[in-house]
Amino acid sequence: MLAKRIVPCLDIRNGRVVKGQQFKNIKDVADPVELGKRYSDEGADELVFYDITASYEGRSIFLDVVRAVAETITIPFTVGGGVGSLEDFDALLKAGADKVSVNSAAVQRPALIREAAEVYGSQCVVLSIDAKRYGDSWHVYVKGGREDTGLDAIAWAKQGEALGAGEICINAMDQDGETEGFAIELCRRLTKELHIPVIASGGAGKAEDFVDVFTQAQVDAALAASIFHFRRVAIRDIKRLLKSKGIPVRL
Amino acid sequence: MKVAIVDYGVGNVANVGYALTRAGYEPVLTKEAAEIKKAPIVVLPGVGAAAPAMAALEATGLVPVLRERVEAKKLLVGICLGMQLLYDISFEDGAVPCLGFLPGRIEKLTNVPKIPHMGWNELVFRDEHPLAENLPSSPYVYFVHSYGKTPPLSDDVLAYADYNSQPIPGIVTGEGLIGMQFHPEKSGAVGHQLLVNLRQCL
Repeated sequence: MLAKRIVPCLDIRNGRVVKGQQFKNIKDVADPVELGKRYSDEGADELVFYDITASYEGRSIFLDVVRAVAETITIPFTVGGGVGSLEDFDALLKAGADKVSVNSAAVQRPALIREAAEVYGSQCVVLSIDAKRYGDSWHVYVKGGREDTGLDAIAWAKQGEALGAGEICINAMDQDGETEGFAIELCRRLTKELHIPVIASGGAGKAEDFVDVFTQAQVDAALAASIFHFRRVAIRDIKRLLKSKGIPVRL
Repeated sequence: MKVAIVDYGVGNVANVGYALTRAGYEPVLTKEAAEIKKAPIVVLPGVGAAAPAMAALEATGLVPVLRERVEAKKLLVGICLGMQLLYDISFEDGAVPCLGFLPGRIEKLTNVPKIPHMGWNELVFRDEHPLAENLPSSPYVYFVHSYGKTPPLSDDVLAYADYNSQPIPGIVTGEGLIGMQFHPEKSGAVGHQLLVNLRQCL
């Protein structure tokens, strides 16, 4: 059986892993290669590295990080943050990334998804969506969660799939850094509407949250950061719990 | 031990090289016929679609060199799309004649919940083989593909994965030939052990 994936996420600023809450209060916590290796050894199924520098110097440091990760890490990894063009895709994939995630730039110019999928294949194009609840729906936010586009998150995800995205990563901003569980309702709506894998992100605080999002929302993968950085729960313990509930995992 | 990785400009092969280095080989990315003739192991990588990949491989002029190796039963290892190219024909975007080193067709996956078949799935071995030595009891490997070898349970299929009750060929073999549909270079400790075991298949 295809296993459900547990995906630690590492935010990178100037070559270091940092962690904030609701996109604020950012703290320096670790070396990306060391932490990535540790997660991989502890049973992570995949890693995500987001570059939150967005300056020219920061980008070249990030490419060095991607190369170092590719040499050391033996599981797939996705990179993202400030990806705006096919040149960015090219540089990141050449540095050794398996997948590249796009966010704000794809909202601005949706054709970027189609162009990247045509050149590099859908399997390496991840559409990352920052979504925040707005009444009965969710709005797409851009620019690191600072700007409400007014776009409906579900409609945007469907458009992303139609354009050739291979995966959707949905980051529920109301949940980010709050450790009160994943956005089950939003994720369930997405897995019903989409035919590509959905990664739930934002809100994981305990092992049971992973059980809930896999059983109630049928997502393919669950992404988290602080729960792993601060060693609140070990990845293997989450997987053992999932297995005991009959959810297929790689142990 | 030298491993020649066939350089035909398809996809990023740096990761295959890193993994072979970790497994104790000396990988060299090359389009030189002489290198490919003499290396004890040759790896045919590949990411992307069959038609442009076959065209790129033919443009290198290396197809006859690979054919010579196969006839001499010298180990050739196809990874992902490289595995698919070992077969007669691929039906990805039309009908693409491939290398024909193994009999069979590559067709779009059917009766599966989501395409691509992406993520970690468990290999089930149908027979004993040096490749299977020292693997853990649940050998999970990382797949990313939309097309697969058919029929899925012919004699060349050494190991398959179960994707919602559909067998998906994972490892295929022939004389001097090994193909892996998944990415051993991305498959953690299991992928590492499979690459280490290649030297037992010479």
